[in-house]
Parts: sequence; structure tokens; C-alpha cells
Amino acid sequence: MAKALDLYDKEEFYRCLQCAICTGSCPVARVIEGFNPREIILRYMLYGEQEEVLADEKLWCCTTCHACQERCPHEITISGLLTHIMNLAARGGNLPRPLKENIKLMAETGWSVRATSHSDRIREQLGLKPLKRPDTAEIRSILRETGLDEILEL
Amino acid sequence: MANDEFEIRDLSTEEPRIGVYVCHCGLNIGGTVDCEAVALHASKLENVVYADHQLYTCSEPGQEKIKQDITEHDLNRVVVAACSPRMHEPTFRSCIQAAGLNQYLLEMANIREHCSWVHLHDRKGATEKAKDLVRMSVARARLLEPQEEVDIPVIQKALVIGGGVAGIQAALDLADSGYEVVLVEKEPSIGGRMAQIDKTFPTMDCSICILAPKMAEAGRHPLIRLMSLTEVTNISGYVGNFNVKVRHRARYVTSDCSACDECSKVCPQYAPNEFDIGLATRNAIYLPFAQAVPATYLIDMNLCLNKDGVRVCEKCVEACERKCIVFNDRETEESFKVGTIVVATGVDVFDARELPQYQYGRAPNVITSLEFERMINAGGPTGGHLIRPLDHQVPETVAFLQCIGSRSSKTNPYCSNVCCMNTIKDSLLIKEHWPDTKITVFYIDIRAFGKGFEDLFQRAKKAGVQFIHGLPGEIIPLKNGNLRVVGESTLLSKLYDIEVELAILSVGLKPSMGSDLVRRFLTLSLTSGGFFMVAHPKLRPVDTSTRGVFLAGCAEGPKDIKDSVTQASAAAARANIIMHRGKVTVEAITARVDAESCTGCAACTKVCPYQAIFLDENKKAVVVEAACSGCGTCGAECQFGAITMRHFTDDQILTQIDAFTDYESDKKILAFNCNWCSYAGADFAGVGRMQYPTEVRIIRTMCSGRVSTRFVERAFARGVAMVLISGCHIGDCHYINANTHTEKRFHRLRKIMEQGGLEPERLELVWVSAAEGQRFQEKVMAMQKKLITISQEEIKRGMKFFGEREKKWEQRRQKRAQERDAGGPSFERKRKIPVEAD
Repeated sequence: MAKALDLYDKEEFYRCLQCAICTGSCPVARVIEGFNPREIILRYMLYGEQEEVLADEKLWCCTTCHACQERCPHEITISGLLTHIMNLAARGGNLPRPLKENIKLMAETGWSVRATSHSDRIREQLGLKPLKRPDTAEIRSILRETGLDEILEL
Repeated sequence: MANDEFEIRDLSTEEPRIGVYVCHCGLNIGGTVDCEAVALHASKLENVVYADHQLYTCSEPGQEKIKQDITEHDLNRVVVAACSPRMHEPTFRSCIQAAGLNQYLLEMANIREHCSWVHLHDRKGATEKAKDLVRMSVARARLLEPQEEVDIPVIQKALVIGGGVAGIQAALDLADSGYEVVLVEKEPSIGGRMAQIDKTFPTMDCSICILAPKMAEAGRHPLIRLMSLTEVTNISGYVGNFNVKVRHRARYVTSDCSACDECSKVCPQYAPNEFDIGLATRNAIYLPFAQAVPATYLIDMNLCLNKDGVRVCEKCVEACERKCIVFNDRETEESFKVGTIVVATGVDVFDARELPQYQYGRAPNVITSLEFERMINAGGPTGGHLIRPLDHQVPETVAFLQCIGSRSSKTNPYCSNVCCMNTIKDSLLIKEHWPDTKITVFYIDIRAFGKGFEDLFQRAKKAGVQFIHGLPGEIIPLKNGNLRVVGESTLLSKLYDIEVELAILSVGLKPSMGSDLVRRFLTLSLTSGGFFMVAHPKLRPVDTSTRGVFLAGCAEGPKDIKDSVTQASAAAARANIIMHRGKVTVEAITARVDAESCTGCAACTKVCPYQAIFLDENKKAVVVEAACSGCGTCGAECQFGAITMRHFTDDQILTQIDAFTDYESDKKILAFNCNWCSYAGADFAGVGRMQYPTEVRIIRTMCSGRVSTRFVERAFARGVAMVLISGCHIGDCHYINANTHTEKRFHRLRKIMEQGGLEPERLELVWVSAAEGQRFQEKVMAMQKKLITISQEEIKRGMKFFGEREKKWEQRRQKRAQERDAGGPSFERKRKIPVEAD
């Protein structure tokens, strides 16, 4: 855990004033109640409630749009922290099922949206070439390198 | 010769008898360093006749002990191992002086800021380092000589730069004490930011009503010469004798002007009024504001139709009854001398356009707090009506956004000090006139720390002003001119999305644009926020490190009116002390030339930042005592050992190096720190308890320019692993530009090392300001990493290479001395005298 955190300058999080510009700028916070980047910094970095934060499934609502980081008056790498937290959460087993399924699909087909026989038919009717199946070997090797294969039990 | 006027007691026959005092400073030193062991180490050193350790050496009993010992043990040198000499050197100097010793016979070893505080967790290493530092100090003490200080007369006239409330107050206080004052203001009128503000907090006084009488008083005071539309273009000299150059911009209206306003009425040209931040217009001929001092109109020549002598419009001239418009007015320059200077250059406000998410400059109904002040002011562009710029309607909902351009590493890192209270005051002003207005203040922290501030905060809450913790992420402008303010209320952990009709950005303060020029003339240091740095943050809060120069008002840091006035009076009082005494004592650290050894090569005259050294008719260097500041750049440049820097002589520094290298020099770093920036920076690292490796030992010189290549060569010849030279940043040198020579010598030395097959990285250079303790810490840490990679072979190679160079240098010097003694003509031949053609 410590190693991954070393990627980010921890000092910068102590600069956090809790001004809430991050949450105020977050498009997700506006629609998902309970998703709050400011609170994540407060709890995870300043209060040390790391386990509780890692267990929260709402973490995965972050779209890494970087709006929080862009507007943070102290240029704190909030998106970086969230990415790090999501990585740790996944390793700890907190990876929502739909996401898991999605990654599995990518590993199997190379696509994040399944192509069906129906879509093949429509393409044929429109005179389009049949879809080429992507090479999944490369995707699988990426999953292996990042350790995702273990998490997903592929 | 100048040197003859000082009688120096001959101590050459007297054997040094040194007393060493190791201070525990409570647990500050004693908690980390084994002071007893250090004292024991000291007692075994040559010439040390007495060594002791005390709980607080600076205390009355501690000082009494030293005085007694001086008599009892017949001490003639004293070494105090305690805090930084920047802290207590004056204390111990007067202590030994009271016991009949010349004050220059004191030497301090800094074992607190440079040792115990920065090595809190390494008792052994810190104790060894303290022993080294004491040994170095004892070595230097052996060679200390008594010095007599000289007095320099002070011109009893002051310069105040900046005519805001701080400058006005300082000028009035100085003038009321009976001294002539020149008050310089770059704008057409004095008054500064306070003149623009409507009311003051927390008393809700009318700002201009309390300021205008002071402005008028400054304008008519017989001892104040007010120079408006004037900028300082150069300052040279030193305390008591500053030469000031100013440039008066053309006003095109003489002081006969009665401010009748007839000219302005007929002027056909219009432009945005700067005083009202462009919310109103003015003519080409105008008075900045009604209460302006001097109450003299001026012409904006960029706007006037008459340019470059071409006269196309005579309207104002015709309207002026007293005939005081002169189109051929010109910019003029003037020089004068002053003894002291008060810098009150004030602040500018943050440009809110730098934060585009708040729409300032795009959405018309987003304004700044300064614009609000002009609007709510009865004499302002809207006659005291708060209106929306878009449709001139009185807004029913208003939002204040705090910390705009403050407390952010993207803009200004510091808190601007006044904005919280200003917003509270502003919200009450709105409530006073339009009680039904819904006001929301978005904040991070409300800082209501001053007298009466908390009461005002409570009043605002009682009046119904809503305070929401959490700054908006953005402002979204709507078609009808309203603004959506979106963010999170952290106290409720809920998002808000509030529609308001007017948003006021509480903009922070930043150092005034013009202050950089003043900084360079006076070689002042800056704090990280860009404001001027005081000599000591607690105990010398208006002095600067340049003697005779004082700070007042926001130039030193954002502050409210009361604090600005307080500081201005303090600055005036400090300047008064110097002028009242009529003289200043100059430290006896200036350069002396040994005419015998001087070859007249003139190298010293080329590097002196003050032109204080020149060649006389016999082609011998001569020092102008009063102009010399003692940086020692000449001493470092002299290849013939002809220049003696008093109290920082070559021999004193070399003996420190020798003492340093007595033990395990191959595992240590020798640092030369200049007194003003880098030594203070290392002190700051200590005060901030910034931990770094114990390997480094610091030798203090007045300027990094003092560091002769010989010192570095000696260190390597004696087997030092690494050397660090450290000084003020280029442009910030306390001695104008002496550190540029440091840089040159550094590169020269590195080249020599390369040629000698040595690792040039063993010599490092770093610029550290007095505020950059961390920078010093980081440099030492980086050097320590390099240190452990340096091999014994490399160190031996260095010892051999530089040892040989030193031998050669010594031979050259001896040969030269012999030639001189023999009266040989070799000097004359060396100097090529060009044959003048008839």
C-alpha cells in the first residue's frame, strides 16, 4: 500500500484547506449523493480512515475527468489519489460487479460493448464489412502485467 | 593614510588566553548535544585556559560568570558556543566589553540553529559536530584582534516611498519630530488604497473622512515635501547618506490650480477613471478624486488632443481663469540626499481574471470587492447605490466569494489578512441600506482575529447574512444576467446550487508592481509571497536587513489600516532613533590595504560593488572607509594578500579550515555561508527544525564574495570531501552584486578541478535566501548522498593536487616579497605603461 502511495507527493495533501472547490466542481458529486472527493482526501489522507474509504463502493463513480484537480487552489493531485485508491480497492476486493464483467468482456473479445449477431446482420444490410475481431492476446498481457487477471480470477 | 586614525592595541606580545562557554539553552541544545563533553573537548585545546557549560549563557548570571572569569582567569578572548551570532552576538559583545575586553575579541560557535535543532535525533553526531564547531571557533579566536568602530554622520532628512496611509503616517510622524521629509508618490494624489475604500472595519468609520485630514496635513506640513507623480529611479549610498534620484512626470498644470473644475467641464475627451477602477469616466484634464492632495489637476497626455506640441484644442486653456495649464511641461529629474528611508509601497489587488471559472471580466454581474467599495461609496460612480452593472437594478440576492487569489499555490500562497473582515463589513453595509437583500458568504475560514472583529462577525450573522463553508467550484452565468453559484457546503456535506443577482469576488492583495525596483536599489530580501522581509519577524518587525531602511504598511505583508498605521509610526520612530543620534557606528569589518604588498594590479577596484577602493597616485589601492561595507570581495580577489578584511581575515578563515580538518575531514562537508541570506537561511532551517545530515560545518563570511579560491583550495588540500559555497540569490546580494564574483570563482575552481583530474561535483554552489531553510536542507541532503560515493583515492588526489598548488602559491608570494624587499624593479616592469604618442 505504501509503495503505491509513494507515487504521489503526500506533503501536498497536508496543504488541503477543505475549501470544497473539488467537490463543488465534480460532475459526479452533483448526481451521485455521497460521492465526495473532498471527504475522501479528509478521511483517507488526513484522518487516516483508509480501510473505510477503500471499502466504499461509491469510489468507482469517479470518472477521472480531472475537474477537481484542475481547479484545486493548491494543485493537489486529487485524481491521482482517486486512481490510487481505486487500484487499492480493487486489490482488496472492492470492484463492482458490472465493472468486473466489463473488463472480462474486454479480455475475451477486445470490446467493451458486446457485438452480437444482430449487429453483424445490420452491418451486412448496410453494406459494411464484417467487424474484425481484435487481438485479445495483447489486452490479456496488459491485464497480467497490472495484476488485474488475479483480481478478476481470469 | 586613513588607517592611521585608529590606534589598535598591540596584542602580539600577549599570548591568547581563551575562555569557552558552552550553553545548554535549556534543552534546546542540551537535549541533543552533550554539552559537558563539548566543554571538556574545548578545555584541552591550545590556549584555552577555561571552559565551562551553563544552562543559559545569555542569562544575567551566565553573563556575570563570563565577566568574573575574564578578570579571574585573565581571559583575553571569549568563545561562546550557543545560538546563532545573528541572535546573541550583540549581547555577548557588550558583556565582554563591560568586563574591559574589546568587543571584537568574542567568537560564537552556532551549536543550536546549525547543530542541535537540525540533528535532533543524532546525539552522537551532533555532539561531534559541536566539538568541531567549537574547535574551529577557538582557532579563530586565537587570531582575533581588537577593532575600533567608526562613526559616520547621518543626514537628518528622511525619504518616504509611497503615499498611502502608511506613508502618510510615517511622513507626518517624522516631520512632527522635526525632520525634513520627502514623500514620494507615483500616482497624481496621495491617499493610496484607503482613499478608495468606503468604510473601515470594525468601527464602520467613513474611510476618506478620517483619511482626508491626514492627507491635507501631509500636503501642507512645512517639513514635508510632497512629490506626487514621481518615481524613485535610483538609490545608492548607505545608512545616513543615501543618494536618491527621482523622476517627476509632467503634470501640465501648475500648483496655482484652484481645482475649480472649469477645465474638466469643457474637455471633450473621456477615459475610464482609474480611481473608480473604470466604473466611471474622467476627462483628459482631471482631478483623480475630490479629496486629492495635491488638489491640482493634471492632463493625461495619452488622451489629450494636443500632442507633441501640436495644439488643436484650447478649451481647457480658455476655461482656466488662473492660467495654470502649461502644455510644454516636461519630465524632470532631481537628486537629493537623505539619511533614512521608509518603504511604504503598498499593494495591488489580485486580478480575478486569472480564475476563469468565476467569470470575472466575462459576466458583467461578477465584480470585485474593490469595485464594490467604489459603488457603495456615496462619492463613487453610482452615488452609493449598489447596482448590477448589467441592468443597473439593485440586486436582491448577493454572493460573496472569499479567498479569491489567496491561500493558493496557483495564485498567492498567503492569507491576504483583510478580506474576511472586509466582506463582513461589506455585507453589513448592504444590510444597512437594503435590509431585505439576501446575502450569502462562501468561505474557507473566517478569520476574525482582531479587536472588535468577532463582534462584527456576530453582528453580520444576526443581520441574517448566511455563511456557507465551502468555496464554489464555479459560477455559471445565466441569460438574464443572474449567476448560478455551484459548490459544496461542507458542514452539511451537501451540494448547493444557488442563483444570485450579483457576485462579489473578495480579491486578495499582492505586492505593488513598483516595489521590485525599490527592492533592487535597497537590496532588500523578499519573503515567499513577494513582500519585503523584515530583519527579524518578532523583534525587529519594521527594520530591514539594510541599515537605515524601514518598512511600513502592506509593503511588508497584507495588513489592515490600523496595523499599517501602527507599523508606520514604528518605522518613523526607528528612523528617528538614527537621525536623532546624528551618527551611525559602522562595524569594524571594512577592508584595509597593506600598501607594501599592493602591486597596483587594480583587480580589487574592478570587483568592489561600492567603488569604495581605488588606486591612488602611487598606484596603491586605497579604501574609502565610509563607503566600504565589508563584503570582502576585494580581499578574495587580491592575489597578493595585500588586503586584510578586518575581523574576517584570510588567516582567521584559513585557521578555521585547518581546525575543521583535524579529524576525519574526508567524511565532512565544509560550507561557506554568507551572513545575510544563506547563513540566515541555515538559521531558518534550524528554527524550522528541518533535519539534515550532521556532516556539514558552516563557516560564516559576510558575503559569499569573500570566499577566496584559496579557502576552497586549502580545504581540499587538507582532505575535505566536499565544499559548499552558499550566498544570496543573484540580484538579491546584500552587497549589490558581489555574489556574481562568487559565481565566477566557483566556475573557475570547478575548471581547475577538472584539469586536475578531480571530480568537480565535490564543489557545489547554492543560492539560499533567508527564507529558504528547506533549500539549504535539501542541498545538504543531496550532497551527503554524493559524499558517500567519494573514494579515498579521490580525496588523496585532491590533497596532492591542491597541496602542490598551495606550495607554488606560497613560493610565488615569497619570491615577490623578496623582490620587494630588495627593491627590485620587477613590479614596474610587470605593469605595462602604454607609451603615449605625441
